[in-house]
Amino acid sequence: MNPFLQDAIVFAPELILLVGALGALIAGTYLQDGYAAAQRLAYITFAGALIVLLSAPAGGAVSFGLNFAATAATQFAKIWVMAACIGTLALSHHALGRLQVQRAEFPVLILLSALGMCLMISARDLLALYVGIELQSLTLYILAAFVRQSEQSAEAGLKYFVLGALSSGLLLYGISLLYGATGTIQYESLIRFISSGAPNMAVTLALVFILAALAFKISAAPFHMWTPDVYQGAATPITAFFTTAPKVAGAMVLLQLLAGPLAGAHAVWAQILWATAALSLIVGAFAALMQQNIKRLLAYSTINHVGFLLMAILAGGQDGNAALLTYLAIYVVISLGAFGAILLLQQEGEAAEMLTDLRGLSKRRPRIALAFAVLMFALAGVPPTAGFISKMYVLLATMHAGYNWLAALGVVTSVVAAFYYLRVIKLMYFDDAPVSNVMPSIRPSRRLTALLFLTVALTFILMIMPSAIIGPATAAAQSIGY
Amino acid sequence: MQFPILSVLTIIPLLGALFIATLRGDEAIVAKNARWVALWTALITFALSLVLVFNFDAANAGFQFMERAVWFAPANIYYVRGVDGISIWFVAASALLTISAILCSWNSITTRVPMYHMALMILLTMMIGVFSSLDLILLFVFFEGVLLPMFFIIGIWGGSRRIYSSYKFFLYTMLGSLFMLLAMLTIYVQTGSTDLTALINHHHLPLNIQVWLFAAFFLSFAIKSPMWPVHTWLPDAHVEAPTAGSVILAGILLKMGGYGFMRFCIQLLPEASQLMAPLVMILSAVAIIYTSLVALAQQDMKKMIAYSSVAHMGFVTLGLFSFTHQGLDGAMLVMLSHTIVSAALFLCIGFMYDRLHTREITAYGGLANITPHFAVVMMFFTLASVGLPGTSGFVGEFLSMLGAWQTHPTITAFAAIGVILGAAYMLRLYRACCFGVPATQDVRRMKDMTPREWAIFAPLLLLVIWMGVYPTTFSSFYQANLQSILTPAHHGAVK
Repeated sequence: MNPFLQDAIVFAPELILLVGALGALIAGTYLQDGYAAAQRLAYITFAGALIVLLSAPAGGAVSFGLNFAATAATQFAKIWVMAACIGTLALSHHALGRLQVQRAEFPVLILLSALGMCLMISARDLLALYVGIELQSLTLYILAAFVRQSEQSAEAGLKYFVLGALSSGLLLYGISLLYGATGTIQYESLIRFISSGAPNMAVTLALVFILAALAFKISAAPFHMWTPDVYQGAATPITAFFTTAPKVAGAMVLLQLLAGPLAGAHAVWAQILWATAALSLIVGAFAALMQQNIKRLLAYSTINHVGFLLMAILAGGQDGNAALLTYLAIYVVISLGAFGAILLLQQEGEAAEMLTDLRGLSKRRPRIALAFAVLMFALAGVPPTAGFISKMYVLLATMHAGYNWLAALGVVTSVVAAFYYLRVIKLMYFDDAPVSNVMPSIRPSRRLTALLFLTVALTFILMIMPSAIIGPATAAAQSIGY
Repeated sequence: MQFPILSVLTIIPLLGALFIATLRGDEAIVAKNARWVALWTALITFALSLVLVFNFDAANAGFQFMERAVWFAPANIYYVRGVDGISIWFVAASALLTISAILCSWNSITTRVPMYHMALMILLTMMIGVFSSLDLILLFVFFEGVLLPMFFIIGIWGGSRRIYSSYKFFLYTMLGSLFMLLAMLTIYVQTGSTDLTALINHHHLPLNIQVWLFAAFFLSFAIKSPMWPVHTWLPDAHVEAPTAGSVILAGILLKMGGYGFMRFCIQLLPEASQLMAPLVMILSAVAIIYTSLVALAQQDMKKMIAYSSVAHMGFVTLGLFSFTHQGLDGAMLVMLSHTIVSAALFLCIGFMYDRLHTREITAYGGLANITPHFAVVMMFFTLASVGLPGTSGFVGEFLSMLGAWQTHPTITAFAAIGVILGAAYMLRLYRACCFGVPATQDVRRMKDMTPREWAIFAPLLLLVIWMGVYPTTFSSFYQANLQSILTPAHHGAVK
């Protein structure tokens, strides 16, 4: 077969995304109702990419020299990135309308960002990785500032951009150091250099820079500072996007780097990862206690969850990798659901901005309140919800790998975190609404309701039948590492 | 394949809850229907649990009515259900007390009635699940799942400090149970299995690991049962919870602690339990004396019974960690008796609270003349709580101390002081409520028992006397189990 065609088959999901993004851009520019067309095209593109991903054989195909790989693990991660993107599109429709920014650029940016994430996940070369990360990051900066009229949104975008640029610089610096030390940037050849003997100073330094940059991208403490501000400033559906897709991609990059080319430097990165995981757990639990804004609360909650992701990466091995993939999938479902609940509330005329806006919600909107409560318990990891399954699996892997103290820390911070999740429940169920709260008009949204229902149902289904997600995750995890 | 009776038992209340969720229409009618649906669901569940009891083979020390299915494929975690002579009674008691809980809130719960009954139904599912799960992780799911409905019951329908109490209840017990989760995961890492039957029969953990596991399990169950000094959530939770919440809390939830001690500490970690037994027994004795004294000083009736519960659970741990047949037997009987008696006492307080809306001991008086039927009923339960021979309380406490005496006589002697103190505070409560002159005119207007209240108390009354006069009916179920628990434990002790 033609070598180009061979590459193209491996590269098919990305190609679809690329074509879709360009098509949406053209359609959005030239058609009358550009937004609607671009949005429809985005849905079709994602669906197409998803179908290709689901039907493609999970062989470890490599293309473009050795710079791009499609394995079962990348496939799994990409499927969940697509799911997060489709979820974001479904969440955003009404919210963008309310903010008067239903512009064609939005679906295009989501598409491009998804393309960047897929490139990140599949990259087998540090420069390819860098290009993927930059494509993703640049679109995220624009998305953060997407609500042009809002000062907060502009501030979020700027903050994200300045700090993000710094972290990209760090990443590039780390890559160049690694290149200087080993003379290669390909994963395949890096393994040989790094696994042989003790890591030298340059490799250690490079590792520190690369890890710091990636920790920034997935908002792990102590590189999390941007997270609450950006989460709060960006429009809510965009925050939902930040919470889900980039975390999947970032965690996958980290996992494949550390389990792959950098596996030889385990002694170095294990310490860094341990500390980052522990800090994320602590910051995510304690800093959230004082938050009054729902999105800021969820930002810290994300940081806590990232702590669990890092625990799984640190644990490594078959169990740890499978636990990470499971955690990511369930986390995407729960987070989309939680943001779906907030957006549905806003669509129905609730403020749902500050925590106190939720007061007495169970009486005004019993069903949404119930769904939100279930998702809060799922985020807290309380059974019988899927959040428990994922947390338990990560704890199991962590203990299997011998990191007992980290597991204990995860447990203790879970209790602290439970406190603020319970606070949401308390506001909704135990408190009464202030008298001045008038019943606003209701504009229900069928697509938001459907999304919310689906996520809540999955939260229970994945608890009762965890194999449905752990099975594929385990199969995918086998393709990680060399 | 055998009829999966345990799964059915677990699912029926859940279906009841779903059915209540679908009720629509006028608020008053929905409330009425919700009550009836909940009541019928609980009755059916109870009837089914009696089927379970009648089909149980008491001569068989193993687990019965076993069900097994793959749950968590890649890891070696299964859906395993089954009961033995120890847990079967708690399954039946959960259903019975849920009936009492529904009946006692018939008129007293007026807001968000459907949701309340859904919470009770989900609670019932979780309770049955805890006592009939034989996989560690599955058991944990139910154990932790109990917290959710209880959190809502205390937080929504509780008293004035309900929010503080519900938080305290949730976070306190969650902290304990998460350490239990770590212990369970350690067991999995060590043995590659979370199947309780396999663990008990085939795996033997080294002592240094057992000690750590014991610490984690002990923390969890000490909070749950509760033991001094981690009992402080209990009085708060009891005082703020509605009557039904207190009934379930004292009747069943505390027994999860005792059951856990039995299953996980004594049965799964026998060597570590033996090693730690003196410590646990000292803590029990301290709990018995200290909380009895605290109970003596209470002005709030619910708080008093709450502290007395801590003292009674002290007799459970005292008996359990004596590692004698009498001690274990006594611990079981104390638990079963306390299930009925504490629930009934909270129902008595509910009876008074429904009429006068105060729980101050001094606010009553002279009930023996005003509500004579009630006074008689309450007397039975008071005496059962004191441990009068002929009531259920006596047999258990006696056996438990008899067992403990054989191994740790000094500690037991101290614990025995608690019996006297117990009589002191219970009789003080009874005297203040039922004898003397009424504190206010309102007390004089109190009405005696309604047929609904008779329906609540009658079965409990019957059980208290039955258990006191012929405990063999109940204890014969678990004799074989106790024997099999003690045999390996004694191997460790004798050598």
